[in-house]
Amino acid sequence: MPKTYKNPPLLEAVCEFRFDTENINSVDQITNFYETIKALFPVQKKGKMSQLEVKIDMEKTPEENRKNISQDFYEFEQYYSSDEKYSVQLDGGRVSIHRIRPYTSWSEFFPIIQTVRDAYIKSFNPKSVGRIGIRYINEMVLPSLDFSFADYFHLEASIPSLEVNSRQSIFLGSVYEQNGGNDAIKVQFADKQQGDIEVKAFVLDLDYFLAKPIIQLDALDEWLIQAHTNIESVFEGIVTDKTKVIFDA
Amino acid sequence: MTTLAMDNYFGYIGLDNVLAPSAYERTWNRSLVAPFLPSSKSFSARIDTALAFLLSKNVFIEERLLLEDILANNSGIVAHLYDVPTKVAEYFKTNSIEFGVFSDPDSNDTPEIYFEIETNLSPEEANSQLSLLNREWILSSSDEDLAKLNFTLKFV
Repeated sequence: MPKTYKNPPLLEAVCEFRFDTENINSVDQITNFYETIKALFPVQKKGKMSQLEVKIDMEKTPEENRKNISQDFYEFEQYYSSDEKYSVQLDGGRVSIHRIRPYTSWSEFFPIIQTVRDAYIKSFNPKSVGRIGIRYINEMVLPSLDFSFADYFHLEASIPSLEVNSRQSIFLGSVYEQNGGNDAIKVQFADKQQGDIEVKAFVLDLDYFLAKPIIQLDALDEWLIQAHTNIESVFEGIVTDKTKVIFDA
Repeated sequence: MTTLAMDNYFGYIGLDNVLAPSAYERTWNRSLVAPFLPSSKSFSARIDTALAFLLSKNVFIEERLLLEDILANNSGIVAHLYDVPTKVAEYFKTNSIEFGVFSDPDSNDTPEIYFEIETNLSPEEANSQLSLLNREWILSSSDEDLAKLNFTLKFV
């Protein structure tokens, strides 16, 4: 049974599939895909991503190469739920399902993931899946008065010659193998410089993903459930009971 | 000649010196082997990168957590944030900008974002430039998200 909190610290949950497709998505396929998910995602908006192209000529100086930087935008499909808290991004072989704050639960999120994924497979007929990722980005805002890091997090990052309590800022990042090396989890933890001295804010970014493309298209549910269980146990292991009390307040 | 095409932003190199999770992640990712390199794309990282870009352009950010919340709920604004420093410099010849949130505590209206431009132009000239910026950039576009950018003036 997945753990739920009254005020979960989740900033954004993402489930992303990168499928291997033979052809570029046709307009008919995109229309068919959208018709299948339209009841859940009635709001349609174009997403815009800036793309930077850098042309590097080894025989030129850095200043000359700097002139070869060009910026362009490309657009991709975005669909939103009526309250715009859930959304889908469709960009070639990449389809992702997003939930922004306030997060409700995995038991609500998972069926939505299934619907979008099934619609993608039916509409675009991908050959295989190259990468799947479940990413949970948490933002934890904690009182700064008498703050002690160890009270809130089971994380170690110390330097022998330096006093732990004198630390002003922290960035941590690690990648761990999971599931016998078939999967991996990227854990990133950082404090957020946000300007309010009354609080301390930390970002805990957990990205669990398929590191080897060996999952069959009919075995995605099993992978997703296991991935969520694993990511949840990492999260639960990092935050202390004192932090969990804040999430349940 | 090597060509690198990436989802990224003008001023990319400048981001590495900015204290923000996105800047840290970029530096770290360069050292990872291919299977571990790409993260699932998220709104949050896109917002963080945009704010890191503004910081690298010396934009002062006020009430960051609230600002991020508004951007998460209005994600179409994010791509436009990259144009703000250039546009302000073009019309006001300054890079002194504050980016924040204003809300009326007596109303239930949704908080809005603002860019406060610090200028030493005369009030007449500054207002004229502001009108030009709005007319030539914001109002000439059919993009509804662009209309959510509000510009105010601070005279120094």
